[in-house]
Amino acid sequence: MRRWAEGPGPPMKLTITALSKQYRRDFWGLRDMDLELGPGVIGLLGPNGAGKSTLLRILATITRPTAGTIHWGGVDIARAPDALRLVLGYLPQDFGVYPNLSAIEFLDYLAAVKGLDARAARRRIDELLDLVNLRDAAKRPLGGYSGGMRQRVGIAQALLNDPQLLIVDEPTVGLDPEERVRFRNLLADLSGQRIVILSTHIVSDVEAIASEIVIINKGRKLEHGVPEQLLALLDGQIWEWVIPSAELPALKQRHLISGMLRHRDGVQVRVVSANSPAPGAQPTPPSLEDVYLHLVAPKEVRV
Amino acid sequence: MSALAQIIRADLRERTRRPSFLVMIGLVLFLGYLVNIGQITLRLERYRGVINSAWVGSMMALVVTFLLGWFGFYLVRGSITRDEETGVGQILATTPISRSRYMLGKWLSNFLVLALLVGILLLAAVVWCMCCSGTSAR
Repeated sequence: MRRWAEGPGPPMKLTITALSKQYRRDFWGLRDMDLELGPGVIGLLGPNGAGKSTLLRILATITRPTAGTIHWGGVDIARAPDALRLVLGYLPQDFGVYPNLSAIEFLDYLAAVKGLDARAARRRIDELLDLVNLRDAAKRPLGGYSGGMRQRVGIAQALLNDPQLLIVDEPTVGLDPEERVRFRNLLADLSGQRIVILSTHIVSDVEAIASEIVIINKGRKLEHGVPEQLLALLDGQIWEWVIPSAELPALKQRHLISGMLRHRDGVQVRVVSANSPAPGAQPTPPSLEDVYLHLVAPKEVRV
Repeated sequence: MSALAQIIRADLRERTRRPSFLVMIGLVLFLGYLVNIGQITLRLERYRGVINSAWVGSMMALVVTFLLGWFGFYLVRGSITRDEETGVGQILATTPISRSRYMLGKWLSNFLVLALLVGILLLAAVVWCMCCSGTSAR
């Protein structure tokens, strides 16, 4: 599997400057986004409707931004999208297939569309079927595949042209826990010299594998950094203690609760607060989930 | 194989493997058969054609034109909508293939689906004619 970790050529850089997308007169899907991304797994975190898919669709050259630019290795992709398309792999959120084609036929088709030479494509498809563990089902019609298998076809097609930029939009939706872990590990193995952008609203999807995390909400970037930087934002601000269940509603009014665990003698709560929120509260180290919830929570609940 | 040929091939495969295509073939053969045994005839007042190969051929041509014009459309429609609905279109949009080549591929694939139907009817008509001429000679 080693060779998949090495993308061809020198590592590229993706520079996003003041990117905005306006859908309606009073609604922006994306607002003044600035990002500079290099090789590694970049986790794009945000609640549903935060603008993740909008950003990814613009990066994948499907939609045009209303304002702002994207440069790939110094080339403006609005002017010359093919420069990026040749080295781009994209797995859309609602990935679908031709149900009456087999995996091999479908991959053959997309390989040709991506401009791969037929013989090279066959070799590549062969390797990819092993990588995503679909060898046994490769000749069956895709219509009969499970959600997880279909998703693996999706990642295989995204890897056909050995992309330097791999974009996967909410790839773990609809996967069972085991498939989810396998998919996560596959993405981690693939990164190497590539830029892998993975969007999700589930923190545990990116926690383990992301080298950088971008948190967005309502079309705007809230934070961008390596996980340690994000964790440092809430250093000493996470508290845990046990309260009687009856006090829970009142606590919810005053503080952002980032976790709860039922105990025999009440509820163990996890609270984000700058100062000790209650006499018995113990400080604990923050998790990414805390940081994420703290950043995307509505302002009025924040302390 | 070129990207164009692959678009045509994938589209054709997807379409000809669907049940609706088999139904269409069945319908074409059935109508062709009706023409051949004289169940469907074309009359102008009191006149009708003499059943010979020239007349049957013309009738077949009329039937197939009618059929493809009216129902063939439903067979070939929606090939771009399908790409949109399945999400395959999104992937195609991220590839270097040009819009015109994509459209040309879809058009040629549509053309071939209908041509396939005509071809099947053509073969069937020849077979029927040979069988019928055998019986009438008796």
